[in-house]
Amino acid sequence: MTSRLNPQLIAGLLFVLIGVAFLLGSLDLSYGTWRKIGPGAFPGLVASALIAMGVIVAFTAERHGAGKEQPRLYSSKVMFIIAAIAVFGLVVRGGGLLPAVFSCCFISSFASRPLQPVKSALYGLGLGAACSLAFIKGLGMPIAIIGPWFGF
Amino acid sequence: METLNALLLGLDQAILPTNLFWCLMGTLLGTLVGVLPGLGPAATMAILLPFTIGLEPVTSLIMMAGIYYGAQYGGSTTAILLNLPGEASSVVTAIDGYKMARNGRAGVALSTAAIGSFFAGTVATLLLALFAPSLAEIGLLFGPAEYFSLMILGLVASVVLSRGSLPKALAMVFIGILVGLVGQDVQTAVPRFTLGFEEMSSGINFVVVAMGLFGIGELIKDLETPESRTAINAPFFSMIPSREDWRRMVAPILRGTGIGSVLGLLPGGGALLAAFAAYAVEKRVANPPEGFGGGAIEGVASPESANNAGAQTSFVPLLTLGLPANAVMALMFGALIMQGIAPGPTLISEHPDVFWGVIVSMWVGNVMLLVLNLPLIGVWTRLLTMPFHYLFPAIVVFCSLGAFSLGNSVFDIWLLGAFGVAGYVFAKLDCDPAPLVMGLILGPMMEENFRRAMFLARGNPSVFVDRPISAGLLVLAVLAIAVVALPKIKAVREEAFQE
Repeated sequence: MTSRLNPQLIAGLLFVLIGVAFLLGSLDLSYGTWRKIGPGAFPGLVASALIAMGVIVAFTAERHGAGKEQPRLYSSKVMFIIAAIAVFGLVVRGGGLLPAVFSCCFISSFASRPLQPVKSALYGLGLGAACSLAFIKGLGMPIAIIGPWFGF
Repeated sequence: METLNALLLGLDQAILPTNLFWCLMGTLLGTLVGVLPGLGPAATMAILLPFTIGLEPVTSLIMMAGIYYGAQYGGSTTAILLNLPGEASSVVTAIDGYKMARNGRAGVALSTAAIGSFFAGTVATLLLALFAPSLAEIGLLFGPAEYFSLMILGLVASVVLSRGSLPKALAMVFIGILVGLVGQDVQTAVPRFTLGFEEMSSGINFVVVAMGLFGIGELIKDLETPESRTAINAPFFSMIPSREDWRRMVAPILRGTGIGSVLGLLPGGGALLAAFAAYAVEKRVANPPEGFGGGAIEGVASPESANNAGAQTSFVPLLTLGLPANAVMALMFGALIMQGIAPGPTLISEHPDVFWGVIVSMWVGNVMLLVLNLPLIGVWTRLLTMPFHYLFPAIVVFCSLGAFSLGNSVFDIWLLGAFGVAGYVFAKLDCDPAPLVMGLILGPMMEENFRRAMFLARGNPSVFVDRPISAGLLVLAVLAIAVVALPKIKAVREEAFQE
């Protein structure tokens, strides 16, 4: 274990970073008075406490994190899942629910092995049809099954 | 008498065909996620929350509650048959339950778990009915100062009982509070931390955060652990416990029910803590203790009773004081808010049908589980062989669709993705997301009560310690922190979560 970047230290630094961001944000808001507390005071207080915790976590890092493996933060699986969600968001309005569900399902299936593109595509189509039936026909969701992109 | 009338009112609600149907759906779904390792009740409830908007308030709560206690049953089934605790709360059941199954006593272990759970569920329902109304009356006396202190206690308790280090859990609470404060300030209408996004002025939707952290986060984590699930068909002999079994399970069931009911009431408690504590107690009183870990029926009866009792009594603080005791209750809180009902001391008097309907439905749901689940055990274990790569694209789709359906807003889908990444990063950094969700729910209420209390006290912060109830709650919170920080107890706590 030579790297100083153990999970404990990263977590601590992350907490400090989030705390500082919120603290800076709260400075733009009024802190008010003791009697009439403004919108910035409580977040400012909590953000400061978060920074303090982050510092504690980071400083106690070596003791706790010793011997632990450094986490691999990058993973292609995350990328596929997030991409699937993002594509759903991009497609659902213009393309409609069926294409959105299909592409979301298809892309997310890349995150797992074994990869079977044809099966995944069929599964995506089936799921899309089922969702369209249940949520648009059944529950009356205000969205098109096949959207304006396809000329409908 | 009053309690009896109220229970009858609840029964009226619980046996309505729609409510029965959704109760059944909830318990079946709960059992399913309990059986499948990886997807917990919190994640399932988060994923399904957006789709319950169309249901009546009482119906949606009945279903949500069913998922929670159904998961306890399902978790114990796989714990016993396959040594795979589907739920964290059935980890201890696996120790002796699986040994019993290996000894050819799987059927007895399963029925012991079911009998214990059912008995505990019945007692916990009665306790809820008897004590919840009086607790709500106490809650009515609370002013802003008391509420603020109560929430401090709730947050502290949830931190103390969470996994991992104390500063980390506290930091997660603080992040939750800050995320909860995003949006327009209630008193001054000033937008806070919205980064200029119009969509964020009404705040970040709690459901999206919960889906991202629990649903997507857990999913990605599961995908990284390779699949190694094989269903073994444990030999079934008799389901019927022998006279000796009955004799040995009575006391543990009673003890488990007692421990579970009390621990469920505590803020931060619930099924998980109850099961661990009950197993520890049973191990201590066992005579002789050597049988433990080798297939002792007591080691199944007690924690199974305790986790079910704890699961049910943990509804008490939520329904009477508006204080969610754990992450699952925080989701119930979210479900109530979505239905336009404010959880708190006025819930019983303003929505008696909801309150009593949910309580009685828990008992009805327990009957369903007892009657339906034992014959279905074969089906549940076969489901374990279902390949995960069919399940997870559907989960991703449901999360995206759910986020979108909350307000027909694509922005919520981006937020879902962002919190999914956050959930994954937190999991990698070994940070439990449950305290964050607690902070998210309680944060805005804390701020509001804090500001209101300070205003009423003319800016004098001593109001929080001058009022006796408030001071008492704060003392409890400080004690809880102090106790955990003490080195000796710290060691015990770490040991308990190691097991």
